[in-house]
Amino acid sequence: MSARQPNRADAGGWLIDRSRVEMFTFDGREIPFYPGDTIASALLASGETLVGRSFKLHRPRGIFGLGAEEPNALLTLGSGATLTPNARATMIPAKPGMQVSSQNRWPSLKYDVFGLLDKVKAVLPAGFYYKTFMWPASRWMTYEKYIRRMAGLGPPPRQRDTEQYARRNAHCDVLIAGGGPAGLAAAEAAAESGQSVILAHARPSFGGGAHSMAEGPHRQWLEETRARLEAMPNVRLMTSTTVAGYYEHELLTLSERVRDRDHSSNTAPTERFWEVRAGRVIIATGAIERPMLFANNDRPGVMLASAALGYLRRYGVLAGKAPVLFGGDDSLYTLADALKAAGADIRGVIDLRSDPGEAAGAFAAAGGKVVAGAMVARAKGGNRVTGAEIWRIAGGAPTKQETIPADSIFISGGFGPNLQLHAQSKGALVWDEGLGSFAPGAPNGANVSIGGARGVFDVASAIADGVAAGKGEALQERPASEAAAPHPWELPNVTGGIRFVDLQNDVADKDIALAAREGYHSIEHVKRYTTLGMGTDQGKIAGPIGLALLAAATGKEIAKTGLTTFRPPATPITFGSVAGGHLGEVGHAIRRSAADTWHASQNAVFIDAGLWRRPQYYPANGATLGEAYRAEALAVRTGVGIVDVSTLGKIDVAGPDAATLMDRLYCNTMSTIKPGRGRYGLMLREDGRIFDDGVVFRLADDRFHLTCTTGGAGAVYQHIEHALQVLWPELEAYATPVSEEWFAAAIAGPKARDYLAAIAPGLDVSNEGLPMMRLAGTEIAGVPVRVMRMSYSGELSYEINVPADWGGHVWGHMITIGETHGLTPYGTEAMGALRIEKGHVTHAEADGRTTPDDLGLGRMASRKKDAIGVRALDFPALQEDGRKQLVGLIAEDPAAAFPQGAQVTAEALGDQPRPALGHVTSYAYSSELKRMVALALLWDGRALHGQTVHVVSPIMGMAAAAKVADSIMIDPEGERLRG
Amino acid sequence: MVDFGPSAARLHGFAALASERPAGDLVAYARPAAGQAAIRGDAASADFMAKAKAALGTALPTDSRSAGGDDALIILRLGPDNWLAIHEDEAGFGIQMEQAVGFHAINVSSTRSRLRLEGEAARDLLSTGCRIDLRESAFPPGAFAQAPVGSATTIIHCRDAATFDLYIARSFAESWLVWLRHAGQEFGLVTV
Amino acid sequence: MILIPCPHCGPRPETEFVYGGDANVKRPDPAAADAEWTDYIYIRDNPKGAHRELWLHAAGCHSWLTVERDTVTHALGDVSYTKDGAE
Repeated sequence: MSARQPNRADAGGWLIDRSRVEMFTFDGREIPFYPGDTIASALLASGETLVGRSFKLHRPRGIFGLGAEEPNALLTLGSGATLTPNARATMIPAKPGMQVSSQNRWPSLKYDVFGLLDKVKAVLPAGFYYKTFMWPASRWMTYEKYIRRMAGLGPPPRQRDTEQYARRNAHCDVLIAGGGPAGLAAAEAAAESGQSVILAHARPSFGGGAHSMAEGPHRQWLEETRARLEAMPNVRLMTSTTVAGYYEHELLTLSERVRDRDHSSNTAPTERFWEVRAGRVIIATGAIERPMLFANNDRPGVMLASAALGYLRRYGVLAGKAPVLFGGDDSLYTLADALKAAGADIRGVIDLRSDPGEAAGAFAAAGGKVVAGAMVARAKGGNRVTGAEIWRIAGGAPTKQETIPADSIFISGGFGPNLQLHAQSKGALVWDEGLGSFAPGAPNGANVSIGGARGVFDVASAIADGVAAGKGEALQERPASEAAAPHPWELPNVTGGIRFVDLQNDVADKDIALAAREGYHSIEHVKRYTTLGMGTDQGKIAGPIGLALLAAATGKEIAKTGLTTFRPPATPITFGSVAGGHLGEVGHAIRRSAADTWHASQNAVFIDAGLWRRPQYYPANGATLGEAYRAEALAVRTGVGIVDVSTLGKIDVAGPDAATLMDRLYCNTMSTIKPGRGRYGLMLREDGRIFDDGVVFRLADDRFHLTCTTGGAGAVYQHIEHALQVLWPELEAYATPVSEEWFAAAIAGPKARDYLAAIAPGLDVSNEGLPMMRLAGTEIAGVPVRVMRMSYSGELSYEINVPADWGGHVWGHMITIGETHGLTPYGTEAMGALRIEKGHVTHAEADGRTTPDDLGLGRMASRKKDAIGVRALDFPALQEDGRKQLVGLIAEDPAAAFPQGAQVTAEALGDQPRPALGHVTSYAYSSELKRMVALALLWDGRALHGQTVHVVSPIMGMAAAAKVADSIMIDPEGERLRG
Repeated sequence: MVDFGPSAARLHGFAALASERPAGDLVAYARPAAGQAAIRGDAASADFMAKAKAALGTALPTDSRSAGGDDALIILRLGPDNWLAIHEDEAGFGIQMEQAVGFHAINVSSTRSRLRLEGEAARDLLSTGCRIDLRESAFPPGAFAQAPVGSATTIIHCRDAATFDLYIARSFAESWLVWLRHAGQEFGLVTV
Repeated sequence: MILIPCPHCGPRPETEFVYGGDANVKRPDPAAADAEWTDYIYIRDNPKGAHRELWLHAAGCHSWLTVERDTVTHALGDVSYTKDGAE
């Protein structure tokens, strides 16, 4: 043992390479390690026992476990952009130069100010925060700030993560979770039968529990099996890979920590997130040891016995040089012999059994101290265990026996299967009295639990499980336990001291008893009230004990108390891993029109419209949004403007029954449109509310071209397919989305006709040649296009459809010609202002609650034919008075501003609440009326025409008087668009 | 009136990509814009199938997972009553089909832009963003599928073991390339 | 994420589909009473166990499918084109 690594045994450690020593830092101190060490094993080798402070009470904590179940040793890795908080020291391979820091302490780990909280544990029982700080409710915000500072895990990173994350989807016949002996055997057996296999193992090297065993034939088996698997082309071996989630139909998520394995690569991502769809799943995730209950059982130096054995056999580390061992089965003596052989001074083995049997006898015969029929009742010491207080419990009332000086206490309360994946898959869980644990019952889906994960703990039987499961054969019946497992929850609290159940969240046995007394009898409620099992270890250690304590406190059987729901991830994984680098446009598509490059070249400010990005306005000469859209709208009213409307949905409906289908899709009649002409239409949902709207052109007797809203396009297409495939499959018609096929631009304004004549010289643009709602084919810049005369702005207007691959070309041509026509490109904001003035509705008005009549479009609904939604219009609720109706609002004061999200009231703002008459749906500055205008839905709104109301926002403290008007606020007769 | 616009003015969604195969083990490059038609009809109608065969010069495939036609005219049965026919040489193909079979066809030549992904790692790259089984045993040469890949629904057509033609809706193309290049980093994808 | 065997496209994950609700409801005749229409529009069973339901393969072939699914275990039964099943 060297001075730098005082707790490293002179030999041994299956997983480490003693040929070289590397360094990382822990709170700034250099920690030496061997390649193969975890952070935990290196810290233990260096004698670092104190590694953290507990979540609530800031009690000193040491390394408690060996793997993912670790509740205490949560550390922060790195700093700045690569900071990862709450990493489990037991799972992270030590890497040269890595920067490791302790958490939840101030100013330092050893002298933590908030550690004083521990002194007042008596006044911090379960529910303390709920009971004390919630009232008055207004003060919670004040308290919370301080409470959060005291109780916490690691700090969140403040910088954008610079690590690389990747994703992968995969398919296989068999996925095996866990690469211990059972999993390895299963992989080989499955692969030999020709099946494709993925074997995922959370650690950097396969072997699992076998690495905690002494030299023996299994080591050779391990090497050979791994070599055979590596040579098989149908096997994918994945180390440093956690199986995090098990979802329906054998979909599993895996988190692969690529750089844990390969930290020299430049192209490899840090982590890779996998979704694997497996034919069947073999769960070989092993077992978890239960702790023992005694006072101060959280002191640094108290450790699971399996962890102490693991540190010795895997890493050659003595977690304690003078330990007391405490448990109730023969595994204690295996550990005692191993530690002794490595040079530890075993201070005593405390065995719950009054007649511990042969192994105990042999240990005693070799000079070891065995205290039978006894328990550890209290750990002595503060920042480190200094001794164990032993009480005799066999035969009568417990009596204090002695205090044994020791630097550590290794405890074993028996083993329980790791149920995470089986439970996530919604398999049944059954209480097994022999195991003292729940065990997997009937599976849901194609999976089987083997080895430790079903309570089969010896290696030979686990391998036999693996072989059978790999071949798809039935497992042998699980051998009955020779002796009953210890029941740690039955140990009496003889000292009255604090006995922790959940180390990470500082939940003690008393808290569970208190919760039960206060009426929390469901384990799900107790979990949330006490925070039992709510830490990042998800109660892997605490859960079984807490459950049994609750059962005892409520007088129920454990089997009937049940378990809390197991949810993914089985062990924590990073957000980065789940996001998989899908940040910004990588993960979120942006749809662009064929003229997008031009818009960008004009510094257009874009706005999202569904997935599309559209120019909101063109900020000429640094104009603001308000300035720009007013100027753009005015240009349309006085000259000619052009807007890219490619985002509108377009669907081709064709077939012999197309006209019949159209009549059923729209509440108004479409079958009477003549080819070459168009009509505005309203689609309803079956409940009578407006679903979508748009103009329909009939291209031929058996072909229609539908347009729908940008946001509604996908849903409208699904709606049409529903009509064709579900409602009326007898109709022969075909709906084909053609939104992507057509680039579309609208030109609008009193000068639109002259301009159209200039860009489409072959077209008769006269009012007779191309009247309202008429379609014509022509050519612009050598490209065949469709020109449709229709208007959204209320001005003389045409929509030009161009095959999208030529859209950029034609748009560029139109802009060039437009230079001599004063053509003004406009964005969605001006388009919105124009349509508000004109009373044209969007989804702000057709909000899923409004009927055609609510929006003043009641006459459109034809009752001469069946159509989706028209039957519901007869429902009394849609007929009665007092519904909200669409009106226009015109500001009385030209200087007044309308607030966003405004309500409408009869009186101006005052001290008293005012009843709302309704709400504003859209508003804009009217460049024609020279003041703000709005569309609003007011109860019985049409009866209010001419009245003065107030557009108010009490939150913003804004109000403006406005006159109620018809929703069509300019050119009500439509003379401009027909001229 | 011409059937379609001047080819020099045509710009598909993958114009930013190399138009010829660049050097590299794993490459993506644009496929020339072609003529595309959606063919719609009832596969159980002998009349329709005959009409389509006469217009196309080859029968519509009934197989829904592997391509019909040949290298010059690829036909993919995208849905039970929906085929996508791609003519490599005739830009006006879609309009010709409309004229030939009426309501059974519609020109969709601008609707989807195409690129080719070529290299041993192509399957792994696609699998970073696609949930369907792309192993060669399940997705051999000739196979095609329409499924989400990355950030957009994509038609994947396996041309040979390590070559895939991908069809992406035009408005998604630029964004889809952002995804592709990001996903391609770990495989050393070359796109220019 | 359930895996639905689309008869046209093959097995595809749930994320490609849009749920369409109970497959057993039938759109009433327009002449039917308000009560019958109300049932059709608003009232649905919420069975624990066997369920026949509609799924649209929105990211694939665009077929509406009738899927038998156990709402507890997610076990799937028959999957067919809704269009073929209509009377």
